[in-house]
Amino acid sequence: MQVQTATGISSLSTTAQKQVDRNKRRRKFSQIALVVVLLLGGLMMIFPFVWMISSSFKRPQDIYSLSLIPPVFTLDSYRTVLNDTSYVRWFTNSLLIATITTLSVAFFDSLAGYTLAKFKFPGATIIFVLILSTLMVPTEMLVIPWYMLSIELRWTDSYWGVMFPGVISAFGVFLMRQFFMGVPNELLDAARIDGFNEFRIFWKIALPLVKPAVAALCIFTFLGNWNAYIWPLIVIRSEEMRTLPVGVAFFSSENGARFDLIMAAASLATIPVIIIFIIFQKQIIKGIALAGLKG
Amino acid sequence: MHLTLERRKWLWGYAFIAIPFLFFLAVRIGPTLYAFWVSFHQWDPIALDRPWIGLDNYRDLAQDKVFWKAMRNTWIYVLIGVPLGLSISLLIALGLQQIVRWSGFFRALYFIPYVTSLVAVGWVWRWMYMPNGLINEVLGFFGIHGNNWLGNPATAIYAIIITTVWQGLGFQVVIFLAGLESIPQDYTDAAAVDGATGWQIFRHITIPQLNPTIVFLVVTGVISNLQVFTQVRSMSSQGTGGPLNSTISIVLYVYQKAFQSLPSKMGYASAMTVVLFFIILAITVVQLKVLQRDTD
Amino acid sequence: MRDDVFRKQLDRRTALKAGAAGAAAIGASRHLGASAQDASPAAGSGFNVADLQVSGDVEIEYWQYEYASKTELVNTLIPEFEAANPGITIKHVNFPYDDFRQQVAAAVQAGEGPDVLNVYFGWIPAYVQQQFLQPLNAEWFPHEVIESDFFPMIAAGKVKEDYYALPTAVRTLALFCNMDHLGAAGKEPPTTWDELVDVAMATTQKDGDNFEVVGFTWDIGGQGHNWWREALIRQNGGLPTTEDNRTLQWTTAEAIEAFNYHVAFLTEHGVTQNGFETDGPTAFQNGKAALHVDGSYRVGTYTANAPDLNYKVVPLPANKDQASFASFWANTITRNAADGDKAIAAAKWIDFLASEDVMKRWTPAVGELPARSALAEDPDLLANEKVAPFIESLPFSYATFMVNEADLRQAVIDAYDNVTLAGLDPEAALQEAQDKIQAQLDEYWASLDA
Repeated sequence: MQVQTATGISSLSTTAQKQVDRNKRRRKFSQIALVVVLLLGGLMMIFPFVWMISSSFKRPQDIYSLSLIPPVFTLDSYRTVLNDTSYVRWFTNSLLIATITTLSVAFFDSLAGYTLAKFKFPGATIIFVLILSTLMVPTEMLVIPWYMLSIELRWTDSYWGVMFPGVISAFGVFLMRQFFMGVPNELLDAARIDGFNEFRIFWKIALPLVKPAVAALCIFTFLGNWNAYIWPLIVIRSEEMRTLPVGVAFFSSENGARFDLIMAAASLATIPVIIIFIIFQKQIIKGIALAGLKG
Repeated sequence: MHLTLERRKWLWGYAFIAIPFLFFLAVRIGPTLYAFWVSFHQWDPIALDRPWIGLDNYRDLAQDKVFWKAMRNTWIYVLIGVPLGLSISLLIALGLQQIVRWSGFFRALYFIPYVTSLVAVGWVWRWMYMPNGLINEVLGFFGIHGNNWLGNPATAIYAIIITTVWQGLGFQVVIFLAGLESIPQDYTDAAAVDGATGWQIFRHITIPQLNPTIVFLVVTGVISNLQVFTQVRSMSSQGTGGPLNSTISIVLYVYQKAFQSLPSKMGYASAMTVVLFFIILAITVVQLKVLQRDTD
Repeated sequence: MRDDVFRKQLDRRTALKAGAAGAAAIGASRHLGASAQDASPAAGSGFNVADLQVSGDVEIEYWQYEYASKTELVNTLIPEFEAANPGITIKHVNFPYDDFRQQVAAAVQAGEGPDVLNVYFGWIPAYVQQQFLQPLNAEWFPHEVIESDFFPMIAAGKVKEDYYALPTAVRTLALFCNMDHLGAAGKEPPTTWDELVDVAMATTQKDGDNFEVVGFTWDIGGQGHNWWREALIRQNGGLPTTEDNRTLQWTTAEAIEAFNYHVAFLTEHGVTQNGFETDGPTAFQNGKAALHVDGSYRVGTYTANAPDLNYKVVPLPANKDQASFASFWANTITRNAADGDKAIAAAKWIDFLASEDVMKRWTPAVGELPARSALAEDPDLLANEKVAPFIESLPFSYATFMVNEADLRQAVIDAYDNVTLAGLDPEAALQEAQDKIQAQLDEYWASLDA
């Protein structure tokens, strides 16, 4: 198993030089093997994605051709999507909704996860199980009660109406609780002795230690809301309030779908998610440095 | 003195959890109880009259062959999909963590399937699985006789599981990476200096340190596989869990009863939801008890 | 307010390609401009609603799923209707076809929803049972007029003594023939059951075990189940149900024979494969199928997606009799518009949409067939040789009375799968399907008779 190679070698004494050289060679070899294996695996992974991108540049009649390179390269589907539909508006709606939801989830879920991991108050376990239990009912069965609530409160066809069921996520609370459990209590107690109040301990001491988890949470919350379909479909009535997945659903009809348009729309829709991923991925990598410094 | 400190900490705890908890109460737990209530009725959202029928829906459920088929299939999705997905993604994450150059690029490579909409890639997969599709062409090249992967009741569910695993990998890899990178480097360094082999480090440091991450991924993986829906709907023949119900999942069946059947059998669908709820709840509690180690 | 914004949005849009191409495929779009000026609402309707007047301003909500060309046509029709009927405003609400019923269910349970709803004919009986739809007022819409002016498929909109719907968008089934493959095999489009087998066998191309071109598509989940139920059984001298729509007749000798005839394409003649090119319409579109049974809407799809496809459409091959399957979308009035001005406004609106005038514009613009028998011989509509066979099929096309469309479809698909995949005896498979659906029918009629 090549997964762990010795690091921190520089601190070894010169008497172990031979061992180090051997390690280096081995490491170089395993690095190359690893790159090759991961590259091959990665290519298999992204194959359907590449096919999607390539299809978005094909003419409707070429959509089903097996070749990865479009027989006739065309931007028509992009043109249709961008000019003849309200794609830009839908895109903006989704961006706004996903961003606000992500910020809200990142804050509240971290706070709740931290509380459930580090505070032992009466009822904490019950609250945790109750929150977890909310993951156990499929969304499809919740939309009608939500819709009735939205009508009651006049939230239909509004951004808030689309957002409200997702501004705090049980999934994220669970994730953050798991990660906060790894934060040493001594650190928090030390801060208490220094006279920090509890919120400040959370915000200044605990939260920075779980940055990788927060970053992962942000990626997935953004993505989840970016792709959310069934609830926005129900709560939105007007064309200008549609989110991207709801808008794209209009490319499908009773007797088939406009795959060329779906491919173009879906390809464009991956751009912001990939950007979000790149931004937050850096945070996950930065996590190493922090964890390394900590001890 | 000690008591008041403790009590003050409690108060902070309640204050921190208050908003999220009230939110869940109103937005999730309330509607869930509503589903419980609906399950005791013959309920059609469109109809004027929705009579109380007590436990009839549950009684019908016990005799519904398709429900049991869906239950069986759902367990196949879970018992194959979750371990397969987790072991592959852990391997990938461990590999990705070792990558020195272009690590961002490699990570993106494995993350991309997760961001791709299933509506768009669903047909790409169907296209690969069809009898004259790519997979059979490749198999034919090696002299292996092909198969109509999604049209054959014996293979359709596994074909869908592969797609599900493929799509979930990106998520699991990222969470594993976040977990791996929260493991203090000095632990592994110290072990390496002490002469531990890679396998020993993995077994005695990485895995225990990764425990909360693994618990999280197992629990959420089981929950999401027990609720598998979109993949079955977009991949199975006719989108109805076919052929011959060989791929139908509980949530797909719930959806069919609630929204495709005429008249809508919302009460019946709710009864299934309630059953599913208690199954997931029981499994989750057991998992947390068995897997979770107190790291304090 | 929201309505205005909405309409502006739509005006700004141009047709999505599918819609536009579909329209172009069907016929000259000159109809659109020509009759736009002289649109008097009740022209050619034959119903008694022209004299009805609303007592004050009334707004009704009209819901239909979005299909670009359809949405646009309705958006141009609304101002015409409103101008001719002062006091009535139509609020046009669109939503994606997917999850149609889920959206309606959520709205209706919450106490909202449409006054006039455009529904698939197969959902009408269930909506009637749920008391969601209003019967059409027999004084305003006399039964003799409905029965004499519309094609026979209108019967699917009748439950017990009342009609509940006026059709707008009608489709029939016909046979699509790829003329390149037929030409290469030296064959003409088949007109009988035997010829169909013969042509399918002649046009099939295989490389060893692998199909390159299927002679005939295997498309049970698409139109195959409808083709058997309403076309093959009837062509073979049977009836899929009794005339009163209460008893299924899927296990009669005629029905089983028709079923076996169909199954043999897969199991005996070796001319087709399940899942080939993913599905039938795709296989035909890609030029990988010689023959394919499908609906009139497919002409528009192929014009957009496969402009170079060399194909011809002919009426379904017949056996003892001729028959085809019809399906339609129809306008219905919901209980939200049960009485008063809303009922009047709703009646006038569905009358307008089903008028001869609007129907003549509908076919070229949307690509769907007219429902009025007067238009069967309309030279303008018959001018398009791809669409003409569908229109010619209208007088002998039947729509199935169904109380649970999804289950009925699934039951028939399962019967085919049980025979072809699980090796069940056809009679047993059909019996199983029939038992399941008959039980639903019995339950339905029992609740209605009660």
